[in-house]
Amino acid sequence: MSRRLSRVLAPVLGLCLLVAGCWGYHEIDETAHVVALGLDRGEHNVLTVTAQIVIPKGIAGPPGGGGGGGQSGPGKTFFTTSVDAPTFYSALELLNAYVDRRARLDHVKVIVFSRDLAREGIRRWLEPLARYREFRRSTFVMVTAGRAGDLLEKSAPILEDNPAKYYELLFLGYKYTEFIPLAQYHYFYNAHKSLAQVPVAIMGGLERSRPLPEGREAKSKGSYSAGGVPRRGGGRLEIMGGAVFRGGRMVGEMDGDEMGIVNMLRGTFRRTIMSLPDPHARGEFVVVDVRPRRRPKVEVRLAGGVPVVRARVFLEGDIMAIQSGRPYEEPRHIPLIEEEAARKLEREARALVAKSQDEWQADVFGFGNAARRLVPSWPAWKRLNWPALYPDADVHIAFDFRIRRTGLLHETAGLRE
Amino acid sequence: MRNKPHLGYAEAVALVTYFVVSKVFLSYHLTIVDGAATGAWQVLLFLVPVGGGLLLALLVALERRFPGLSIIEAGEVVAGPWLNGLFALGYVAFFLAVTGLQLRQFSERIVLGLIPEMPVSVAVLTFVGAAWAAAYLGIEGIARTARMFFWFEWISFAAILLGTVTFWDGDALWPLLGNGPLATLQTGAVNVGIVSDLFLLAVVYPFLPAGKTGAVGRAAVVHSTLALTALVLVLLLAFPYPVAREISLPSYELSRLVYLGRFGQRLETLFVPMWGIAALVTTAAGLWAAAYTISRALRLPYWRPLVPAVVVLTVAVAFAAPNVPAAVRWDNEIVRRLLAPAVTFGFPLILLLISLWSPRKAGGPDAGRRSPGGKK
Repeated sequence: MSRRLSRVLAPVLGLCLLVAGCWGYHEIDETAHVVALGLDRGEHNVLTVTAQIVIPKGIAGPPGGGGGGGQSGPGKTFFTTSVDAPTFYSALELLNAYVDRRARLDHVKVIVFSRDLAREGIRRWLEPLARYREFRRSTFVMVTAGRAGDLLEKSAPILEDNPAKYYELLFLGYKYTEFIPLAQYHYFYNAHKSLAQVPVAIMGGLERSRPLPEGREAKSKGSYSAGGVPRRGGGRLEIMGGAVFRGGRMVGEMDGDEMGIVNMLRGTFRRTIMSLPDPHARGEFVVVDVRPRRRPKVEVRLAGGVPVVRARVFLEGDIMAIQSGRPYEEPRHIPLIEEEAARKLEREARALVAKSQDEWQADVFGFGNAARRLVPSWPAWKRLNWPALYPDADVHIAFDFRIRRTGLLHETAGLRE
Repeated sequence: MRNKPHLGYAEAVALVTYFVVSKVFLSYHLTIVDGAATGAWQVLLFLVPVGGGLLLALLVALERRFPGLSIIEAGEVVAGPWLNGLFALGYVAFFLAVTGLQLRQFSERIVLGLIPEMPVSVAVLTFVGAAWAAAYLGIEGIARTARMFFWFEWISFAAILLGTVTFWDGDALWPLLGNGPLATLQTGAVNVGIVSDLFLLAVVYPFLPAGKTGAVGRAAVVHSTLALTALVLVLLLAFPYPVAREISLPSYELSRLVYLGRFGQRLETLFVPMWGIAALVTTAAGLWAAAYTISRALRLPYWRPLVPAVVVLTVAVAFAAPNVPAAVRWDNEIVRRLLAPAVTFGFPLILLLISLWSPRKAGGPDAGRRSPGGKK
């Protein structure tokens, strides 16, 4: 290359390096990171938007360590603020009327809708988020029975200094519990737009915001609802079960057990601990650790215009406890436990199917995804109209459960009396 | 200084593949997904090899009749200066339209996804400034740059696609036939312009190793088929139709979707160099091709002085669209559906037919000597 050419090109190339990236920078200490958003019906305008904003110096802690402290005290890690506005984005801008840093949504982990708003319809609040570059589809979607603003004000983490980490870890609990749905915005939005299934959001609530169950008789752990888990201590936010949506409106609510069945049939189930009533000892339990063995198999066919759904869920697990001490770990007795577990799950599934068909008219299980194979083309799929067919579908669900291991004990030795 | 650039096989494959495939970072999927719904990936699976193969066959047949000549010089032998002038005008319009509209889309993409406060004019000028420098250095430099980053691009691209594997939903590809076989064929037929960028071969083939045009084209078609089909397939798996229709920048959205746990997320910035290099190589190749085509059409011995004029025209095209949806629509529905098929399929076909009808006009071994080659 000639020297003259170099003289021409060098400034051009230098300019390219210099001009790129000068715009759009944000100093970390000039940004307010919103980690949770709450949406309620407005009192002074259409919508009340609550933002939970982190206080970075609270997370970092004082010199020498020891950060944390939720929303109160010198080491507080976040503050919440609510503002009424006609739209979500105008509320975001209004925050700058009194928050000195520019609010950004890059780190939002959860968006909470109040149940009132969810029943009214969230389509117009939910859909625009997909367009906004700061919003990420990994954000979780939650519904609370009370006001979303109250929930965010009072849901301080205890173990975590960083509320973003707290929410992420809490909602990723679907990996080791059955009662939390995988409700990232991505999945929620895809289901919201789908004809084959309906979306399910996480149900959240503040501790003891619902009546607690009475009596000492045995109740399944998943029979509770968010806000109604009998407990003391811990953070005030609890999540349990799911909110069912149809056509952008919340139409129903599932408790933890029902959510587990949905997770198993949707293929999002990872693990749970199931307490089975001992078939031979009243009041005693056999506890098993349950995992999926393979993806559920769902087949749909049409019989005289009525869909017939046959679903099979494949599970396996380990015995964790045999309270009665009966020798269920013996190979000849293991099928007893397997059948007991399958029967329990089938019973729960039947009840939930009836509820989804009669009460919600909504395919929460995603059986429609298998029904897509019934038709050759998209126009035919639209004509088939699965949402209208589902309430009349004849649904058969079978659980195939196998015990694989019995823990560290080979057998339970009898007590010498 | 050598007068004529030489492109090796691998450089040529990389260059042509970049020119065809860089649209994976833009919005080529929109018309395909709109037309074929869940069957959109099948459209590309047959459109790229069939359309690309057809265009390649045309270009190779022309090259065999006029060895050593670019399509502009061959056109002059076959059709005479006036008709060929019209054809050359079409080629230049194609390169300017494609490069200008893609430049605008790449720049808007930077503004939309990465640097929202940056004025789009700065993004356009930054891109075109760098591409200008590369074009000025010539096609050999551009091709070598393409070659150097070729596998890096492939690996990064594959990483984006495979990074979303946890979000794939196999049921989303059903109903398998999309909007029906007829709609699939129609969508493929009207969008054949997607492979028109292969036409770059017709401009660079005097600089390719002798007899390698077909092999270069075949390799480019294979790479293009894989990349263009894989993107739409993964898009449909991760964003089931009709959500896939809403996505404006599929590769960007897919890269934002990658979530490998708490510590493996927000990885989209890792892929910025991949988009930047693809945009620069494509824009530089387009600028060079337009300048070179003008110089050959006007029988000018040098093409370099034309680069600034081509840059000005390209930037003018880029800013002609009043907004992003218009730029996307012009690219997908006017350039790719009307201009590109007419220019890149129609004109070479006419030239081939004329040369077959009048065999005396076919070039011989001496024909190449008439070419001023790559005088700069």
